[in-house]
Amino acid sequence: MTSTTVNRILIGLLIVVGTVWIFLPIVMATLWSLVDPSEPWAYPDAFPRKLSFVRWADLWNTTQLPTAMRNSYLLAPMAGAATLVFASPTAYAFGRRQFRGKAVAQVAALLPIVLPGFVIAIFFSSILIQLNIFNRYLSILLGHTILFLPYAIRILTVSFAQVPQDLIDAARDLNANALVRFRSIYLPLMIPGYVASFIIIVILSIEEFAVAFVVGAPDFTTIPTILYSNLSGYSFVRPNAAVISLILVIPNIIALVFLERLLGSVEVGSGTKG
Amino acid sequence: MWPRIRESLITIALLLPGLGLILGFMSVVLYFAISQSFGQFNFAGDDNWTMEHWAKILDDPALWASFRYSLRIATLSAVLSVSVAYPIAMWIRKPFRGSTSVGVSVKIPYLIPGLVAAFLYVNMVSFNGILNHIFLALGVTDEPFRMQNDDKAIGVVILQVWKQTPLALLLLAGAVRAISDDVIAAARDLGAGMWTRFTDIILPLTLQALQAAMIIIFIGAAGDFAFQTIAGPRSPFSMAQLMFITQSTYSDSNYAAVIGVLLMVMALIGALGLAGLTQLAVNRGRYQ
Amino acid sequence: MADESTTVEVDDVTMVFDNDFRALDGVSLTADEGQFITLLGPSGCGKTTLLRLIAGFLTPASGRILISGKDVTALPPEKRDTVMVFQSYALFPHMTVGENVAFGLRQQRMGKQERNQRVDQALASVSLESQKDKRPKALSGGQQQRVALARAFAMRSGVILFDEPLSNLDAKLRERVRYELRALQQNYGFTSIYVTHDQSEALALSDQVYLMNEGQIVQTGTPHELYTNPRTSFVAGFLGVANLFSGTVTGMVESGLCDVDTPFGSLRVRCSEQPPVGEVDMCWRPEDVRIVGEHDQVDNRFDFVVSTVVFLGNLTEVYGHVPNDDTVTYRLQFMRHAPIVEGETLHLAVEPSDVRILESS
Repeated sequence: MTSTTVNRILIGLLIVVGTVWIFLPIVMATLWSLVDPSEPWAYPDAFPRKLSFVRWADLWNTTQLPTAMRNSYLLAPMAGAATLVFASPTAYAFGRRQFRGKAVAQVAALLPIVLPGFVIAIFFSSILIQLNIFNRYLSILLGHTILFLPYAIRILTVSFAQVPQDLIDAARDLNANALVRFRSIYLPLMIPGYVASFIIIVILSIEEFAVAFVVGAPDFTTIPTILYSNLSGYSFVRPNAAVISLILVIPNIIALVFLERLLGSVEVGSGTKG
Repeated sequence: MWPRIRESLITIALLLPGLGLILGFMSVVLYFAISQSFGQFNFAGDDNWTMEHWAKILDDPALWASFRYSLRIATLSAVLSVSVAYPIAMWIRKPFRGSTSVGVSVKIPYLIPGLVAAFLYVNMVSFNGILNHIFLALGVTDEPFRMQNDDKAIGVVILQVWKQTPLALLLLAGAVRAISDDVIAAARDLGAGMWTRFTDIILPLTLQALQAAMIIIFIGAAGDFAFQTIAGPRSPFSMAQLMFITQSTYSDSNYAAVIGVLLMVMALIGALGLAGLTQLAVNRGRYQ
Repeated sequence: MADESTTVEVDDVTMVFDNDFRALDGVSLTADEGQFITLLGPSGCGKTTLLRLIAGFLTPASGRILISGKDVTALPPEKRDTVMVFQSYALFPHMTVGENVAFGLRQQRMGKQERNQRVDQALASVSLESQKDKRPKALSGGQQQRVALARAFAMRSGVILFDEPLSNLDAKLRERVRYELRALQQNYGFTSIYVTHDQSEALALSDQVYLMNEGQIVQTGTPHELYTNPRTSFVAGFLGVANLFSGTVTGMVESGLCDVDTPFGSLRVRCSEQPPVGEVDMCWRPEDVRIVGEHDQVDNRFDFVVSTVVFLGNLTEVYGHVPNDDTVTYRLQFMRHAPIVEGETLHLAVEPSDVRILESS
């Protein structure tokens, strides 16, 4: 059996598994979101009897969904911007400066990812209560910023490091000061890195659950917390959950397509070898 | 000396907004967590420094049940995820027609938020879900299976593996590709079959990536709340779930803090322990 | 001693890669037990492909590979009784020298005591016993190369394949290792198939040379045969240095001797029973000319205008052209220091047996 045949068989297997593992659930979810409430979909029907967008309209008009969406979509870009602003100086230091203890510092910057997010969220909300801080919006913004700083730092560090030193040297040689250097050399070369980071953090913020749930409870909703309330154990409202799930996933797909265009192909692994 | 000091000052200034913010925030949280576990910041009553909340763990079987449970889930998720990722990483090591598509499609779960994944799962296995439809149609059973919130936490593990395998693949694929072709060819030439090549060559040479993947997955699974509450068993609780309930339902914020600190310690030590065990296992088999 | 008597036979093998690139076309090769065979040729000629086919890393599109008479064409490398020394050495970076050498023996499930003995013997044969517990990255390039050799020797395989093993070493080291290698091979008696692009290496080491070009075997023979009787201008030019030119046969003096019209005037040369008609490729080697007196009556004398003289220590190279045509430069070689001046005209002669008519390629 040649390797090409083996590959074909494995790909076939992957398609089968993939259908069950990925494709089918998504199709099911989409179908469920379109089930008309007047004809519930139950066994023994293989397909829903009636499809419509009633559920969608219903959710929009009668639940917290619009508010939640507004919160999420306002919060995310602000978290993105804040994170990038705070991450940039550190990323510059990591990417272009040498100093003692740099390796330790880079590991330390990963701290928010290393500790379990839900635990951090609970303690964070307790701290806020102790400090009598009740502004949910800013609190969650702060939480998100801290949580996503490691990602931004990581991506921007690589971006900064990749700016060729000779360009900087040439600019200095031509008497360009720091501000001019930043504007005319760093900025243009860093735009892909910044755009990529922004998109990733926006996505992470939209999907973030722990902090939004713990800090936002009970009245500040985001899309994930609304989804959760339709999912957890005793209150499983399937069609609503389906609708909200789709709302959550769509930006991801758009972002993926965008990122792919921006950064070239989406590769498995970080190397270009092979 | 002055230029050097100036350089250091500039570096510190640069690190302050990002790293400084992280360290500041984390220190506050950790300080708060530990103090609260020792009696401070008591929402219900007075503050005093005491060991009594920690002492409670000596007589709380439910806590230890959750502890063992979260430990088990975390270990299982880490091991299963890398076990799924390794074969795929080795398969796409050398490009072939369709290998990029394979890489991209395996990454799709990465795009889907955890909550959505949980929903998709529950949708499939619920009383009214497609799997039961199929079972009934095929005559496998007369009544739908109760698969949601199963006792053995199979659902939670499946979700963790579903969500984390792309990350494991990302880390492992790069490491596997970095192994020189000649080294693997030499191993074959000297008589090593596929399994031996995996255990004696690939595993040792990708050990660091493997450990990184296991640590990240372990910590993520150890602190899980969402999957547990949506698709997990009614009992025992996961540590994060227990902490939440202790705080919100029983209003015992000090004991909740104890659980939280315990969870953080378990996550870190467990992850490092798992990485250490992995290293021992990988390096042990080669010497006799 | 090799544990098995082993011959290698490649039977009319053709190798085509995925992009339809025909790397080998109808190639055949025979290596007898204990022979040192060299596959020689320029980059891309297919010699490494052929070696990998013998090792089992590639499967031919057609043809067979036989080892000791057994058809192994379908067997993967891990099941074939060949062992390869890689150009990059391919040492396992996470194992010590000793563990590297023991690896193949471990796959054979050899007992610990016997295995250690073999490892020590193999390391002793390349003088590396003292490095047994070091990691490869702690060793120099030359030492790493010897570990690769030891790893192959330890297997006591009847066939050892070498893929340009010396190309990463500097020139002096290369020469020394070359001779050590040959000595080891003769001592242990294993069959070697050795790939190189370095013709002097091929000449120095081989019992038999297969000269390859563009996926085919151009000529095979002992080094001496290939050097003295090249079949085509490619062979003549690749092995050693040759002056290549065209000539036209004008007549046959006697059986096996012809007169040929060349840029050097009319030359009397050896030829086959049936002398070729029309224009033919010809050559003679720079070291085959001798300086004669202006009025000496000898066969095959011609004049040569010197343009450049290069003193190389033990040799002198002289570049120049024939009196009426300075567009083509030829090369002469004399031992030691010859008192030749640029611009002077030399009177040269060459033996009929040293001028060859080549097959047209």
